[in-house]
Amino acid sequence: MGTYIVKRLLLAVPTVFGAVTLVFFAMQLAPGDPVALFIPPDLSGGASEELVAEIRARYGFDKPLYVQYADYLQRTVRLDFGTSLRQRTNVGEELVSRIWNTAQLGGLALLMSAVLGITLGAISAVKRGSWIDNLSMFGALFGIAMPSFWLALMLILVFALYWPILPASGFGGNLFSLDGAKHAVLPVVTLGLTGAGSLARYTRSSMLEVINKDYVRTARAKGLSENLVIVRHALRNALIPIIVLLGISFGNILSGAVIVETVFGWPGVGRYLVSGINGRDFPVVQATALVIAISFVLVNLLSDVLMAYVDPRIRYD
Amino acid sequence: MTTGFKARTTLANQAQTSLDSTLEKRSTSGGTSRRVLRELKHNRFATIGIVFLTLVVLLAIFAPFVTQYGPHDQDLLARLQTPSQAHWMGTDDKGRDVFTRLVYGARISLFVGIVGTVGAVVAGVVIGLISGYYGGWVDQLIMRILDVMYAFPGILLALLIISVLGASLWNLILALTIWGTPTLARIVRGTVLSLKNQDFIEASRAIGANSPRIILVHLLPNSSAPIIVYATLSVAGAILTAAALGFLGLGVPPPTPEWGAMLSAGRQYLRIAPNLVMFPGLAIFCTLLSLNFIGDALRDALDPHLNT
Repeated sequence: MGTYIVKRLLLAVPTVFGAVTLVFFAMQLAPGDPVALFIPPDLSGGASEELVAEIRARYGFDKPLYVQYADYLQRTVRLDFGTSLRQRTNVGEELVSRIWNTAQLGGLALLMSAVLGITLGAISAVKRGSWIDNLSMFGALFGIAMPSFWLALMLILVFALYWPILPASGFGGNLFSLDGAKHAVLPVVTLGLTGAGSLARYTRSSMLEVINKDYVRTARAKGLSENLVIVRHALRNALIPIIVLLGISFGNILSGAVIVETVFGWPGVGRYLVSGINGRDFPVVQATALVIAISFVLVNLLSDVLMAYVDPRIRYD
Repeated sequence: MTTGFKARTTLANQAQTSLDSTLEKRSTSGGTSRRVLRELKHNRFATIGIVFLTLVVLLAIFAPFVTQYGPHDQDLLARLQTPSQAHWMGTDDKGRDVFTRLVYGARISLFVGIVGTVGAVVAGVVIGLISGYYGGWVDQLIMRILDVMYAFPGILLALLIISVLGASLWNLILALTIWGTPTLARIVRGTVLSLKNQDFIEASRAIGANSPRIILVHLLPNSSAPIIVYATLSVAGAILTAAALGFLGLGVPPPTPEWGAMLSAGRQYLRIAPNLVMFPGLAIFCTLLSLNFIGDALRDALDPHLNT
């Protein structure tokens, strides 16, 4: 197991390095002077000579590319993401609080889609061909085809405007307070519902594959109750590929958070990214993209290790 | 992260089984495409999807004939109207007819989704064929690069590209192409890997066929089934991504009618004119649902193993 973890870690290193590099070279693709990426378009009175010079010096745009790249790597390793030109705040510090906000939203949404998706998928597989199966698979397809931004607005329309029991947007602080929880309901439900669809479909097909296996038949033959057969023998084996899928769901939730946080005014990483792009605040864009990419790689790594732990066959591949 | 992408490789594995079954079928019944068409016709959902999409395509093509208004015609005396006989879906905050803008918007969404996917298919097929066929360090290198692209989940990669290049129609298409390439490349690679060691490839090598010939004459046509299925689903993904970017204000710049941007613009009138949000959303939703119906039916038809 130890060797396996080390091997996986070593494979994750080039991916993280590649992501960091990609973000750097993406900047070079910008048409015209890269300094323009660092200047908010609506800066009062345009960019002064000093500001341009300051940015040029800070990011070393006057130096050769490899020097710029080395400097950038150094700053990234030190987690120095610079200062937001728009808000004049330290991007790293700002990110820390936003990561926690996104983690809360994403964690709850992941939990919701996992519980909903796996339950519906498992029931569908067991009751294959029944109305329950048809209904949940139809629902799953709805979840897949439903744009999260539309679902969000429809939920706001119903639960905040027509029947005002929940706030339309904003952040209520601590999720364990009444206000905090109320503000979290709609964003979590939006993200959770759109994520549950594909999980339900995967669970169903993974479960169907397992359900006809010999060991399930054996379990049944030795007289176990149907519930025990399903939960202990079928579902547990069907869950193995789903662990990896949960890792990917995490990615979908990160990506969905960009939109959902924007709609609901949730002060998380995703909204920070969008405000960075709209305000041409490139230090913010760089830092948020890196944080999202690296956390996604790490979660995938974690789901890999977890899967190898659950299914020893993988370790010896 | 080779195993890390197991679930993604399951896609490729599904593709592989689909391929095996296609090959079996081909030898027994002859004419896969005829069988697929027959099965599509019998699938109720696929029929609904095809009918709806045909309708959308026709509306988009004949837009000037189905509506008396232009997409940019403003009527400031008729702002934010509810649906009526004159304006089926009401008017927006500038008095523009929502139905008209939806119909013209279909042009943008379909064009962007289809062209972006075609780009991704071309790039993905080339990369996947090379990676799968040659293997070795070429394959390793390509896979590591795809891993890096995968590190930016969902719309993030497209967002990053647009944020650097700026929002425009062709930058959007480029972003969608780059967004869709890794998945298609992986699927093609998986299929090629499963085909590579089969007897008919060895046989053609034995009679002296060179690599380009094997790739183009044997591997490519035999990989077409999974490519078609995932290209269909990929169009849905591309349209959704384009709409999401439009919603965030990073799609095709205004005043071009675009579904995501229309939805976003209608947001502030949610209370007084929910039709501004309802109809563009429905358009996106129904289009995606139709494409998914067709994609699922294609997969079922091409892949009896998954027909569960």
